[in-house]
Amino acid sequence: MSAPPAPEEEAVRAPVEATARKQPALVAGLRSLVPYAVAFVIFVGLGVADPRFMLNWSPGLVLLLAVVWAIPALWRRWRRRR
Amino acid sequence: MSWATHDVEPYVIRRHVDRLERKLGFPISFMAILLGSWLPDMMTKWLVYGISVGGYDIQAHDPAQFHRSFPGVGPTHSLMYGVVFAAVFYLIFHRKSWAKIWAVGLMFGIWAHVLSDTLDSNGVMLFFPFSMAHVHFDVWAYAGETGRYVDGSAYFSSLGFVWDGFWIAMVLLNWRVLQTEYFRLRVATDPFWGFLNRRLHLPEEALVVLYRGAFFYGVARWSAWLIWVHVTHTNTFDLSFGGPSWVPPFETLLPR
Repeated sequence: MSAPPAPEEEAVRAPVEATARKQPALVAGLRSLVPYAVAFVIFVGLGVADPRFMLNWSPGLVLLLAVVWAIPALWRRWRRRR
Repeated sequence: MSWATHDVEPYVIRRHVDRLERKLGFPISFMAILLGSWLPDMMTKWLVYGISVGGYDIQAHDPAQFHRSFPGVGPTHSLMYGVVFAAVFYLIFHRKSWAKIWAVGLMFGIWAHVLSDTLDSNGVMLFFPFSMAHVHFDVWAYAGETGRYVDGSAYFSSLGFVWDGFWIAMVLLNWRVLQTEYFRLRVATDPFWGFLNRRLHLPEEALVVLYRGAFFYGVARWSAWLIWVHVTHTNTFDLSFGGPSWVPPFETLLPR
């Protein structure tokens, strides 16, 4: 049976473990932003090329739904079937 | 007029009505605030800028007067319009469970739009029908009569784009409003989202994307307009009050 860690050792280990626990959540959070960033770049590119694209919210919303939800959902479904 | 502000300020309003909701005893719909924030211009802007139908160009004779004054559609930019619209909406749908939460949301959204529009040089008839006087703080120049693209160029060269930036920053400071958890607890209580879920078979993941849509649209077009106005084209920034100076005052463009 191993001895319990010394108080100093515990004081160092606790914040390190807390950070390690938080990291996957942070990475997952940042990863979920990637599709939004892709949609943002596409929207800005299209808008600068043709400003009519920026005058109506509906093409932006369709683009966002397609890039962030519909395409990834279809991709996941296709991969499951394979 | 403001541009991205009308897309993003509903998130901040929604975040700060919690205490009011407790007093009222019912939640306030985010979608209603957003729709209310778009409503005054949805009904009027196409005639301000002009549209082409079957080869005919249709535009208000005097766009600035038409947009914000009476005779014209100026009453849509007044506090009373918010009250009347919400009251009529409630009377029509009072048997529905969501009538109250939507009526109050629409009123707040319309008020937010109207108050933002006091900042340009045309202003709004804030206290119509009690007063026809325009309340205007002249922070940036009204340029609706010059058409969509000059209007956009003027707005994004003036303090107008700073005002949009302020609201985007406010949403980012209140970033929790964009989280799925916030959507679940505070936003999805509106039956509208359940309706989308049941009728259109949209899962929660898609509903959250839709919820974030107006913020995405506001930020993306704010960025795209800035690039289009200042990188693709060479308009100069004028961050003085009432700017940009290169927009002729709308009074000088009025038909005589």
